[in-house]
Amino acid sequence: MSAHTFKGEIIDRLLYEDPNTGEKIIYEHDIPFYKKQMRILSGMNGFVDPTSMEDYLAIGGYSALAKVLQEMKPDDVVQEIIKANLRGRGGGGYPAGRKWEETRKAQGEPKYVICNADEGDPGAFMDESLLEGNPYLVLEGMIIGAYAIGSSLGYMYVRNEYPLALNRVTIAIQQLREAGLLGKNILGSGFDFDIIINRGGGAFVCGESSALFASLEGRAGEPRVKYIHATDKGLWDKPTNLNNVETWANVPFIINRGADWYRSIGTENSKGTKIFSLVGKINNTGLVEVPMGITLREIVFEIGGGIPGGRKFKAVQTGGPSGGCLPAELLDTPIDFDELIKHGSIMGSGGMIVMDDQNCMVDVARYFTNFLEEESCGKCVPCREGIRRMNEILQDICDGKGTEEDIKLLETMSQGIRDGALCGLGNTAPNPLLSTLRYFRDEYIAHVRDKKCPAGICKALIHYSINDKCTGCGLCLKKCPSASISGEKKEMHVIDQTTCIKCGVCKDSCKFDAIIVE
Amino acid sequence: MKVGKMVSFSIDGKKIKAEEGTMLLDIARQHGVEIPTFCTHEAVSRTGSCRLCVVEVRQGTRSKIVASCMYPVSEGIVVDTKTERVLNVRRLVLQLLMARCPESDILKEMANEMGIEPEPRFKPDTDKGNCILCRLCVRVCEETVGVSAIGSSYRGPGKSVGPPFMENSKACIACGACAYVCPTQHIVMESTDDSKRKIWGRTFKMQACDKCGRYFAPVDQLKFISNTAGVPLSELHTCPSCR
Amino acid sequence: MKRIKSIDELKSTQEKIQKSRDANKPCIAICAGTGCLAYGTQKLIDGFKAELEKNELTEKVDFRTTGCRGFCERGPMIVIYPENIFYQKIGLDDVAEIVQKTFLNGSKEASR
Repeated sequence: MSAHTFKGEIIDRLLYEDPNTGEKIIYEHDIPFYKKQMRILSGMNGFVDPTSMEDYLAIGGYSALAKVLQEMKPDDVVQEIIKANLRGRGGGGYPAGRKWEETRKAQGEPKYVICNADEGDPGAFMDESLLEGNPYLVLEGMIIGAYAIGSSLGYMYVRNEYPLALNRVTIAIQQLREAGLLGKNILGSGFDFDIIINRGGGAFVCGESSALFASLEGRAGEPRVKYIHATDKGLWDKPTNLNNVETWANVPFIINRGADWYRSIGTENSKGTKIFSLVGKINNTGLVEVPMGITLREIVFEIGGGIPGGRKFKAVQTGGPSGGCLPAELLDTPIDFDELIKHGSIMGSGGMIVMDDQNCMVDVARYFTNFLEEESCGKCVPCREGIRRMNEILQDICDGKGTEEDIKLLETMSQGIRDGALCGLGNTAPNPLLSTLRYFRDEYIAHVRDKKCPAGICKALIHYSINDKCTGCGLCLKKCPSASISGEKKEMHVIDQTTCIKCGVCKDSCKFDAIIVE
Repeated sequence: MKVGKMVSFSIDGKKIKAEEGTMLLDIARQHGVEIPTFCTHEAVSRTGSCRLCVVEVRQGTRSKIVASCMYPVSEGIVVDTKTERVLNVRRLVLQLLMARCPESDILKEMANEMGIEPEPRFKPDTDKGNCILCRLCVRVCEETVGVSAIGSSYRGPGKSVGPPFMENSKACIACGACAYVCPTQHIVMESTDDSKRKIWGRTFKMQACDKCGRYFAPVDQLKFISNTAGVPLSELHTCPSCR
Repeated sequence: MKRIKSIDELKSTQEKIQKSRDANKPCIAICAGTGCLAYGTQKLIDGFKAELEKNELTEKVDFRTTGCRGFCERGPMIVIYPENIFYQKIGLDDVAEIVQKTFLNGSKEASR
């Protein structure tokens, strides 16, 4: 991979330019975005056409399955995954090997393995890219898992909003069946296993395992109490092992390269890599795969390239609607299941939303609470009624109708919802509120006491005005969708507060910094 | 879980022995420990959805809040039915339900007994009647009666119970089991006059006893019994008192 | 793919495929993840295929559509193998020039 073997001509303007040095970078591996990543799972994407099983075989695909069937007993496979300390990548971080062992030991036939591809966190698309980019990898993991557990039937539950992923997985499964890697007597080993694809019905709550089982069983996707584990009684009350897409994708690597290799990556209790969807106020939006233990600072600034427009970093939200926001003081927190929980967030499935000084943290809490109100299944009182009341109060706060007593009430309610809710959606629903209150309480106080939104977001609490930097160019007047700006050419313009809809178009178009929001 | 094995544990400091796997709520009640519930009824399966019956269970160093109606007892658990966390959940549940059904005297009475005041910050609903969505009605119709005339629709706060599309249900036999199990008397079964019964928006003809002439059961219910039990309809035209 | 009946057959199939491929053969890999497809990559895919055909390069140059490469901010993107040259924010107008300058400029040395 060097220039002197390349006989063509490089087209400069199409190269990536390093914004810090101005240098044009030719090779993918030199680009700062990729340098600190460890693209073990996702790196294969460049070499595989996701509809070509030959491509996957060409890079050694299915060697792990061959090794397992030829050299390892099912218990050996389970022990290897336990030794690797692979923790679930769907959000809970439960040790996958232990789950496999529990299912293997449970009484009851048939046993099921399930791939949870219902990825519902706003802003998350890690599982989507794995299924669209290399479905063969995920399927190989499932087949190995089924062998280890003693299952002959698996389900892949894919959210309906991923038509491309559904299409590619369907093709891949068909190809595997034709090649004899799914179905009866896989590779002549005597092991039978097949996978059925099930499309989701558009409910975030169906990412919760017991709701997912209900959905597979043809019932409304409502969770049930989990005092008896799914590994004993899951789908159709049979022993069931459910894992996330990314968890399954890790399995072939652990088998091929060994648990010791896997343990060499990451921290004491969080091994391997994690894929994050890095989105929001960040220069390099995209999907990043990093070793556990890398810090948030490295992800945001070195991989992510920092905040656009030179604005100031304010917070990073991890874990989706069940997670929390971590402030600048915590940028050196390593990516680790337990470290993130310690600080009031969670790893979650990998959504990572970066926020700057123009994000209102009260509005962020309101956004996630509103999302959860809509997605609550409605079965239990604390979630169905509690989240809706929390949302009402948060909306009031954003509308300038909140009080300091409201904050106390929200905190009390949070404890009741956390303890009282039936499932994980409800239990973690107060997290966005609690984490933003923990680190950005001053913003809440500003909203309820001073009726101000410091970030300039909550429409009821801000107003737009023009200062004396205005040159009277008239651009904002032209662009204003509610015709609220008036003024003569070359004279300072004025915004009519009674008709202004606070859309922000004027501020975005002004070239003189003359529009202020306060 | 082996049925039959006895386990020892404690509830509110009281040492108790019971069969492993029995539900905590039932054991507690047997031993005179009061735990409030809404969504349980002896006639139907349990879902653990109202969360009123929560208790705190400690095992080793870990403690968790669980719905006692569905939590199976096991060896060595230490159960507390009135910790701060538990009372906090119960208070929240009742306050939320009172806001949802502000006209319900039953809820107000229960809250009063438990020393719980309504939360004024929760704006009272006006469109939910007395329905707390315990869905005992749905379960009794499906499991005990066997017609599944009513079910729930929508997700989340908009969830509601009734016949499909809220249209008159052809499956309903006006047996009244749903109204009977409803803990808040939300479901109304009216008799406009003795010969008719109205429920879920549909009016049903009542059958008059061929001996005493009293109207005693809906015609549709008798037809249903006849079909499922294989008894000729004519034999069902005598009221229970006259048999 | 025909049914593979044993583990040994799987290994020999892998070997056969690997042997039939030249790691040094030029290849354009274009990202066709959902993000890049939303950028209009399908037109680029059709454009590259047409351009390679027009220049009689379909045997000499592999063309592969792949899954997400991760750098969604900079899509549409291609990587030219075996060198790993990364071109980002590509448009339809760039397709002809890329094929021309990458594969048809004879023995011109790259300047870097």
